[in-house]
Amino acid sequence: MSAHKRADEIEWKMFDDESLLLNVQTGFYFRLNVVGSYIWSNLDGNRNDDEIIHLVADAFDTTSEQASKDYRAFISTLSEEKLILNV
Amino acid sequence: MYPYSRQLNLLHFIIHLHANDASLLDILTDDFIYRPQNKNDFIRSEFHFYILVEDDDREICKPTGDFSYAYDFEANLLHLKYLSGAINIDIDYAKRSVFAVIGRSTLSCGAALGNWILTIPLAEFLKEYGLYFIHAACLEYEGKSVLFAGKSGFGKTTISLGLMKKGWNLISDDEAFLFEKVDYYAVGGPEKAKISYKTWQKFADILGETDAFPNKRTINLSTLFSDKMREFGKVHSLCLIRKGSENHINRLKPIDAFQRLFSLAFLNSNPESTRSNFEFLANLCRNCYCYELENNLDFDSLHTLLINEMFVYPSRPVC
Repeated sequence: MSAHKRADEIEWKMFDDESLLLNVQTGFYFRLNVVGSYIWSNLDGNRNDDEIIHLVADAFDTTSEQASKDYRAFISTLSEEKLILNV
Repeated sequence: MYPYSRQLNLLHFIIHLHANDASLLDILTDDFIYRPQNKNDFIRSEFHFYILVEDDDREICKPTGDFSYAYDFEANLLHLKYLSGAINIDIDYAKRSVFAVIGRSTLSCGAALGNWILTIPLAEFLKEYGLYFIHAACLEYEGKSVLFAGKSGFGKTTISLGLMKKGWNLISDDEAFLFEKVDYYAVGGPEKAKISYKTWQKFADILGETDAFPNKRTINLSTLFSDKMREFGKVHSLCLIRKGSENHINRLKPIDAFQRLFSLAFLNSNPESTRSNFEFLANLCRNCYCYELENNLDFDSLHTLLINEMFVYPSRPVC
C-alpha cells in the first residue's frame, strides 16, 4: 500500500481553503487550490494513498474513481517537483 | 588591508564598514543614511562588513538582475554572486560579518551596490532579531499606517510625497523593517529619496523650483519634512501598487496579497531565515487589510479613496 509525505524542506501556509507552498532550499513556490490543499494537509505519512482518496471523495462529494484519478495526477505533479517523498 | 572605515547606525544596531577604497564607502553611505539610535537606546548587536575592491578588466558595469546564491550548510555561510561574479559576497551568520570582493568596474553601479552589499546582507542579519525587510513605502494617517509595496519605479516615493501634502506622515518612502509585537509595526529605513525631474516638478511647491536635471536627484526627507517624519507606525493595511490611469482600489484575499508580496519581498537566503520570512509575511497578510491599488497620481482623490476604503468602509475581499 503506497503512501506519501510532505518533504521536510517544504514550508506551507494555509489561507482559508487554499495554500502556498515554498521550497526553502530553492525559493520556488506553488499555490494549491482547495482540493490540492486538502490533500496536501493529509500527506503526513500516517495515511496511505487509498485512505486519502476516500477522504477526498467524502469531503468533495465525488466518486472514488474520480477522486483516485485526481489524487494520482496531483501526487505525480508533487513528486515531479520533489515536494513529497514516498513513505 | 582595509584602511578605510565608516560607521552607520540603524535602530539598535551598529554597522561597521571596512574597505580598501574610500570611494566605495562614499557610494554605500551616500544613499543610505539610516535612522540613528536614540540617546538612551541599548545596542543589540554590531555587524562588520569587509569589502575589497579589486582591479578588473571588465567594461563599465550597469546593474542587471544577473544574480545567484548558494547556502553552505556546514559553514553557515550564504554566498551571493552578482554580475557574473564581478561581485561576490559571503554572509557569515555566526560572525555577523560580511566579506565582499568586487571588481572596480562595478563602482559604476552606484546605488545598486548599496542594495547588494549593504541592504540585503543587513536584512539577513536583522531577521534574527525579528526585523523583516520590505521594499515598501509606509505612511501614517491618524494613527493608522499603510504599507505601499511595489517594484522600483512604481511610484512609492511619488505616493509618499503626494500623501504627505494631504496630511499623512512618513515612516519610510522606499524601504522599511517590519516587526511583530502583538500587532505589526513598520520602522523607517533610509531617510533619503531619489526623484526624477518630472517628480520634482510635481512637488515644486514643497521642493522649490529647479532647473532640469538628468537621471535622479537625492533629497533628504528628514530635513525637508522634519515635522512629518515618524519613527514607526502600527500597520493597518497593505497596498500592492501598480501603475494605472485611474485611482482604483480592490480588497485582496490574504493569500493573493501574500503571493504577490512574497514575490516582491522574498530574499534568497538560508533555509531557516527563509522559513521565518515566509511565516512572518503570511501572518502579516492574515492580520492586516490587503489591497491592490492602481493610482494615477491625483492625490486629492487618492487620499479620499484611501480614507474611505481602508479606514471607514473596508470592503470584502474580491475573490
